[in-house]
Amino acid sequence: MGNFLSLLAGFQVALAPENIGACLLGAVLGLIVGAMPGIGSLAGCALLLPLTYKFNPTTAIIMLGALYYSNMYGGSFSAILLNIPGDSPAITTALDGYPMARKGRPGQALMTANLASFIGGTIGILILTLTASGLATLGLKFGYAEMTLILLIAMTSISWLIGENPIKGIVITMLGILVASIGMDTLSGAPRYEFGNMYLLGGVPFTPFIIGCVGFAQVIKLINEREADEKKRAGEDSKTKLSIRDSMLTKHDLKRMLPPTIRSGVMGTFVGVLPGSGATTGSMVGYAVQKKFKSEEPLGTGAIEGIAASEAANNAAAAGAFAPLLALGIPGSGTGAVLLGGLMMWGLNPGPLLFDSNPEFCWGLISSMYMANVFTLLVAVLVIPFLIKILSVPVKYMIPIITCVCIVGAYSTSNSMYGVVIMFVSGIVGYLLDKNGFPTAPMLLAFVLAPMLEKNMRKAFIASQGSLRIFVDSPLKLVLLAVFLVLVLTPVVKSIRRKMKARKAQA
Amino acid sequence: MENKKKGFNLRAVIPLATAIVALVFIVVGLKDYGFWNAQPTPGFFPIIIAVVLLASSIACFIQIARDKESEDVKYNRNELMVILGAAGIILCTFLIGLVPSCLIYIFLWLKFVEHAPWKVIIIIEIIMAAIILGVFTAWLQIRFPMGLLGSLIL
Repeated sequence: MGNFLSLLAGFQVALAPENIGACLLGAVLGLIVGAMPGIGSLAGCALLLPLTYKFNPTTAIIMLGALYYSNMYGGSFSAILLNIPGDSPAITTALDGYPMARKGRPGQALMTANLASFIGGTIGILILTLTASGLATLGLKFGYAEMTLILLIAMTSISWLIGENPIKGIVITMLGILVASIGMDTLSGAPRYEFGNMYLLGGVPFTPFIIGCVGFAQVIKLINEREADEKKRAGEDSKTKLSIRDSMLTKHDLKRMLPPTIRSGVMGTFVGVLPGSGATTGSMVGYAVQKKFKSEEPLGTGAIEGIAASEAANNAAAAGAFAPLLALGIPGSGTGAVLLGGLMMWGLNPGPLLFDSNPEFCWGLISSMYMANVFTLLVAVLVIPFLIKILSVPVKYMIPIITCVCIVGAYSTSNSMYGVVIMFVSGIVGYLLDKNGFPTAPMLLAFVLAPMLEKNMRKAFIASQGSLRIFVDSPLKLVLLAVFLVLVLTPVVKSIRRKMKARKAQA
Repeated sequence: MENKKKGFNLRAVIPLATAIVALVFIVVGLKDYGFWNAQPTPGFFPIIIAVVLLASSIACFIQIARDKESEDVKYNRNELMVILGAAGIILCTFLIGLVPSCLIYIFLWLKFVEHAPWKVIIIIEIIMAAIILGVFTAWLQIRFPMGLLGSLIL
């Protein structure tokens, strides 16, 4: 009941005209950016982050939330119509979406994706409404040692999940933490690792760093996709026309899509809550589970059930990821890290106290997600007839456009060419890392979480006067430590087993 | 077996670079910020992280050196062109300002790299000018650098 009343109060905040406008703007921009192949929600949110600076913190975060949310919708458009997933969570959508479009039902495939996203997202937000404040209350019981262990789990799990090489995951995570330690000491405020450079005294600015690592690095990679993009486009029927009326689903279609949508919606939310997972894992799990259930057509051949399972799960996971983000200050993915960075820039420190210190903000954000979900569905349906035009912008024309947006965005967030230089350098570093198989998402997550981890770890050591016992003196800490150790040791054990198997096979 | 490497693997550059970064953080941390003085000092946390980074970089280097099967990373001219283009905008900003540099870069890229038709170039230039001047300058009130030329004119 308490949550319901808080939600109603949140709607009063969210329904303020400027918040509705910001939400709608975020939904439209997120949908357009998400629909463009090759950009994705992470780069999309990073590139659009500077646009939120004009607003007050609540409005800015509502817009950012809508951006993030609608990006998830947009990713499915190019997956269905061009077989180019706009983002990694849409990979599984393409498996059935594109074949369904080729069967002459592109409109219905898009409508299925939109409706499943809406229902999955709604399930995710409902579960978030019921659990977020409870999770925050639980978080209040955590001391410095527990928070240290939770943050270590969050950082470790994303390193293992992204990419198949855990050593590279550790390298990239540690690098992110070291970059974050440049500037000022988190406890004493003394200068640290500034190497005599006055610009580095303020640390590495978050937004230019993110825009570079994700946005500019993406542009450098995009240039290699020009030819593949043109070939793919040459094979498409450019005269395809879509209309809302032709895209309507039949009763039979609805009957087919509802069970997988609800099932994946619930499952995706819980996947999203886990630190280190996020929408991509959500959609993969949703699709994999759907394989165990009966579908009218086999999955992979244009089955409505496949699109529904994938889209419902990824949107539910996107909503579910807000629970640990708001309640514990732990983002579930790279995009969550961008949102967390955005919150911090406005002086809001997500964590157990946020629900007490800024309830109007927390509940305003949660209620705005209901609003964003409805707005995005409306915009996504209305935009169907224009989709072909949005998607017809070739990759080769997007390269100079995104490069300029990166430069202008980096300048606008720092009001200095220093921001542009940071963006440029981090873009090259991000590109080189990616090219060599080092995933950048763990680095972003580590960069955002590092100050929190350092503060908690040092305070834990100060409280225990240097004793490590503080990390093992309660059952909860032991459980958290065990989870952390399992996460650290699992890849090592797996690698040893793989080698032993290979030796046996050779023998 | 065609992919087998004969010399230095370019993939090993990254763990080498991260190992050097780790060493710098350890040495500077121990020298300037300390590790422990009755309680953790400013160097405490970065030094621990740098030690882990050094160990994982060495492990990664060994892993790459042992891997004889995977292909070397290939870099191409086009990727360098994107980087040079952005560097060009940054340098030109000091001369002619940020907004003209961006618009000139878009024109040059579309005309000479992509060989785009005039119609496309004009449409993209108008859209980008509207975004930069409308959204960033007018709405967000960002004052972009004018460069030497701008300072001389104004």
